[in-house]
Amino acid sequence: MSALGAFCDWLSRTPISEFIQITSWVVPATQTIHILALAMVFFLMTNFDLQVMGLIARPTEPNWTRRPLPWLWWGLTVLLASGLILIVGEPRRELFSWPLRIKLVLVVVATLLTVVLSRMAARSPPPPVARLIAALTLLCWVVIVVAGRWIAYINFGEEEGL
Amino acid sequence: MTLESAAEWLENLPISTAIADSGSLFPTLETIHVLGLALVIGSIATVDLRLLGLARRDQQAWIVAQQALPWTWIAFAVTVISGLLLFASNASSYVENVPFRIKMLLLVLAGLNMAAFHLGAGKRIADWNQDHMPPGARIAGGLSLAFWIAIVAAGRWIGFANPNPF
Repeated sequence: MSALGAFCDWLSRTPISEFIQITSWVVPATQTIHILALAMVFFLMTNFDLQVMGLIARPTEPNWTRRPLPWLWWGLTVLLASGLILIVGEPRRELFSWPLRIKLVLVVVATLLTVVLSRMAARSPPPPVARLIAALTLLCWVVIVVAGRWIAYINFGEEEGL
Repeated sequence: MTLESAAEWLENLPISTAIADSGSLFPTLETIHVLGLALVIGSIATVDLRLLGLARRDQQAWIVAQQALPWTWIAFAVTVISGLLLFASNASSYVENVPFRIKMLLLVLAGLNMAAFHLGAGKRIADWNQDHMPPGARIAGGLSLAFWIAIVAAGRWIGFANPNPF
């Protein structure tokens, strides 16, 4: 068995994982929190990227490029915490999932790009390269949501590492 | 025509059986549904939090609402269409599914709350003291937030209840 497979099987036998597995409301409740947080992050980031791209009106306040950041940090914290609960509840389904792996890498990429953008776009008007980065960042957020939904459908965890 | 026979008719339409029989159409529609609902909830929550005085206090409430509403309607259309197609693929299971029924009821209540706000307390939104939202605005914002959180929860619970349409 692979090291990851062994880790998953160990994790799924821990008391916390067993609690999540046998308590029927934990998974749907956690998924609900996850969806609410992703709605906030996805809406704010779509809005922000389209503003930087100039496709919707940019706010006139001087600090507009920094304003979404605290919301992003809170949103990501909730998403990470709820996501972790879902992983602990079903380690094999999550940790062997390619959509999850792609999603996690893109979360890091999109977050770093957003931080870069919030500095870059503070200049008025934003440099042309900022528009390109904003388009790329928006694409990342969309792929993250898409990949998240496909965790439930693309799954090799049951065969791998056995 | 009963609800059951209407559901049976719907799920036997060619488009419904195509979604039910295809391995990838259902998850693709679900993905579109999630992208749409994220924008619906995100835009509505922004306005609700402004009405509650919890976010964007530097901006007037009517401007926040004006910026958010086009998002809400476009994304709502996408969410409703994808939702209808998901429903059609297995209509007779959905109509019997309790969380699904609760979700539909909550959607109606959220719509009524929104209509009541726009026809009532919200009419003079531009005249308000922007630092102290009137009680009507706070109630509408709080109710809306509660309804939409419950809608997401009910939607998520559909797959955990019987009859399971998935």
